[in-house]
Amino acid sequence: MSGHNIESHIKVYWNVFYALLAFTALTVGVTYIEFNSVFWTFFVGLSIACIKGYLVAAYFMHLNDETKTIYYLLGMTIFFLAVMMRMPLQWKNSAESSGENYLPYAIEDKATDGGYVEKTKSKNKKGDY
Amino acid sequence: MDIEIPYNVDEREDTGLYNSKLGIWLFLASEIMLFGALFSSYIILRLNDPLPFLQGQAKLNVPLATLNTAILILSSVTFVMSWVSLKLKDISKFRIYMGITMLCSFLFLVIKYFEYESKLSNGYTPAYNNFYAVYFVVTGLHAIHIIGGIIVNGYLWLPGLKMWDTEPERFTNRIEVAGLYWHFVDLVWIFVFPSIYLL
Repeated sequence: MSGHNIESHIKVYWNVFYALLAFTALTVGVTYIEFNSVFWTFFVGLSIACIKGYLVAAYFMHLNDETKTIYYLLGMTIFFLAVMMRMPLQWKNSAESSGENYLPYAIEDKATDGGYVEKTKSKNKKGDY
Repeated sequence: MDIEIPYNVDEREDTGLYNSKLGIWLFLASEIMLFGALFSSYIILRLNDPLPFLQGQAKLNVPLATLNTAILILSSVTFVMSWVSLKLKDISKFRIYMGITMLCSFLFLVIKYFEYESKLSNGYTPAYNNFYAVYFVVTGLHAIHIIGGIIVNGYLWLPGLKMWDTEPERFTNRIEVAGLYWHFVDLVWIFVFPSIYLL
């Protein structure tokens, strides 16, 4: 990096810092908005988190200017991450469509008393959550 | 007999990376899967029974967590500035920026301690329900990563700095690699904060 180049980089780093602070305030701010939809609440909240994540990865971690090796490595990681994140939803959908419980261990705990599912519900009833 | 390990400073022709940079990215890839598995568990537990999650979130201290987010973001920018200082061959500024990063790291843990203390003293342990199990595991694992970062950054800030006198480029690379880890820890928190505290 040349001297002039570094100066411009420093400016970018601090601008990213201010943008991250602004987006953090926005993340907290949007939680006060009533979206009347779980989907939109999560969509807006996680979209802001993704923008913040992009800023950190692209500028602080220099991913906007990296070698192909790292892009391939991260591409594979993101693919397997997507598969792993998709699995529980697939599991839930297929279990529900066939009328099965998709969390058998939680249900088992509930049935034998002392399980966290039952305990939580009883505490909620007392209002001492 | 001294054996010189190749590509400590120079980049390999095939990967375009020096050793430790390839190593840290492979490590970070495994970390993405680790935290991804926890987020995946969080999704399925919340979908199964969302009520404890909504009630548990209402008990969390959002202003403190927001302050912690700002502190971690500040530590990220000071870390990258410490690397820039080395590129500019300004070791005194490196010491200052890395010192601020260390201070932010400790502040984060102190705030986290008060947050945990208020939960545990009121009986909200990981065994209380699924929400607190997820809350303590995810934020606890993240805090362990912060502690790991403090150990590495502390070493590079104080005793490890002597490498600057003999191998400045290699030391700069070490700071870059430690920085990649630190920014990743910041990145994870950026997703943990809304998922656990807000949504």
